[in-house]
Amino acid sequence: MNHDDPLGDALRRVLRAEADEVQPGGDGLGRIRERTGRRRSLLARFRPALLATATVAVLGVAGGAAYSTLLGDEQRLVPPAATPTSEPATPSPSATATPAPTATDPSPFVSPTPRATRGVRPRPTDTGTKGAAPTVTPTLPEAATPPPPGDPAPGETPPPSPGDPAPGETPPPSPTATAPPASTTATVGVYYAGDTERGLRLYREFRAVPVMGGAVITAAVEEMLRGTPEDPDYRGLWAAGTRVLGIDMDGDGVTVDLSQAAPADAELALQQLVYTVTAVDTDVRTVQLRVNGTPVGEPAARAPHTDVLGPVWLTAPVEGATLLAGRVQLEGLATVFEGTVSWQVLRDGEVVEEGFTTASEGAPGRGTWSDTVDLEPGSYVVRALTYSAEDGSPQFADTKQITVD
Amino acid sequence: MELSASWDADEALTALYAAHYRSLVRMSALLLRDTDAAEEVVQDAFIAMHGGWRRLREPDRALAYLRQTVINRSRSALRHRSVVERHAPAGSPDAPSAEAGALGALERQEVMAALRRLPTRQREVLVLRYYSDLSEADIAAALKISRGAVKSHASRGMTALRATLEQLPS
Repeated sequence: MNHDDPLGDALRRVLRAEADEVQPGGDGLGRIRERTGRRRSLLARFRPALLATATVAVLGVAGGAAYSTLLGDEQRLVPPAATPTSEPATPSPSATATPAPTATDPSPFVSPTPRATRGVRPRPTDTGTKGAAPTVTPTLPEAATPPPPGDPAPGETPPPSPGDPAPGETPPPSPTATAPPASTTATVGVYYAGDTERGLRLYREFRAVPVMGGAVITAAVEEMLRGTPEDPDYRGLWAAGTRVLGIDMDGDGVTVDLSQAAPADAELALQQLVYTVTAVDTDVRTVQLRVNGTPVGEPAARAPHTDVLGPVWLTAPVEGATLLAGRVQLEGLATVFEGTVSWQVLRDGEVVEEGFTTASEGAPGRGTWSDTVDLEPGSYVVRALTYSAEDGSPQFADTKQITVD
Repeated sequence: MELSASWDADEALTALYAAHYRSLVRMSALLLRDTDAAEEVVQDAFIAMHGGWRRLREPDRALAYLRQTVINRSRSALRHRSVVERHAPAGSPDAPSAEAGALGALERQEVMAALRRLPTRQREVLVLRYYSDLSEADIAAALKISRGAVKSHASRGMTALRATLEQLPS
């Protein structure tokens, strides 16, 4: 930039000052992942091939033929292009004139939006990792992925214009095979339990899980059963070695058959399962648990977030994160009095930074919150919490160990 | 986090979000004057990038794609809103806060108002150059126009803002 340019510098200062006042709300990454995850899971069941990443594009030509054999006639009646439009939490960009949908809508994670009738859409079955799951995931021609309108298509050859490095200009070289063909990964929100002043509550972590044949729900449930959260304050509620025997979908209900019941906290364990399954696919409303084929209770929907979720979540930074020195974004969700969320950064047990912010909604709503803190290199514990309205005692702390480089 | 070409779509999403989400939201908010709408635009762009990662594959290309998508979508959001506002003129959704720092809030508002009166391309070029600090080539790529056009939009835009900018304390 030309610094002998006083007018330019003046404009730069104005834009910086304006920009500094723009503070993104909390949980942006969660919102994005929630939508990419769901889209994956929907497409996965219609078109398993779309889950394949570049690493498995080897099968290009054979893909088309194999694809049609994987899907029954009923499933092929549904145009794949119709799937993204079924996302209720995706306001179209043209709706941006309406006030503040992003910051005020509760995340679908914690408060599923009521669904319109979906009776016309046939729902194939999540087959789990066994049985009908294809051993090889074919790849559709890439042109089959319609870009959202108004975007430069990532793969489109741009009109020639000088100096224009549009995405996809260079055709990708032949793909490399670094992953087993049928397996890919998806990032899913998995729920775990953590202790709070109100007893055990649920917390969410995003986990990259291997997915076989597009069975994302199965992969998420297996990850949940494994019970190995990053955050050492969390734990799973299911016994080690519990296996998924089968997962079936029927309408907006999913039946999950497990090899054993939860050893304790059965109600919260069921909610852990329900929240995890419904986070993968928000079309799902209820989960029927079976143990070795025998139904346990009635189909269960998500219990109100005020009853089961940790009142304060610190979703970013994540446990064990290594961040660049400088401004660090803190994000989370909370159900707290007047939306007041406090945070602290500790080094060697001493509070070195602290602050508070207001969530987009106060209790009983679940609001998103965010704040920033400037950190120099070092190891820290970040803690988000609230103070009791009655006696001022700290409550509901969610802590993460992080490193700043 | 280190930039790597071997990422899968989720890894790319995580890394690019950490590095660029806030600055992209701010860029869009400068164009849109509405933080919530800007966030939505940027989230949509990240989702599109995630879907197109197989084709993008490189962080640099993905970032260029994100910028281009954010600008396109900001533009259409603005177009849509100007239609709405014509019928129901509203106050500024993001009024500057009291803590305006070195620059007077009033003077800043004048510059921002003058910026908003500029033709779309000129405004975009100025925001990309003076907020995002992009090179002429990167601006050309993001807007799909030639470098010559970048130059002429920038100079016309600055000429139009000259009177307002000269009033600022330096």
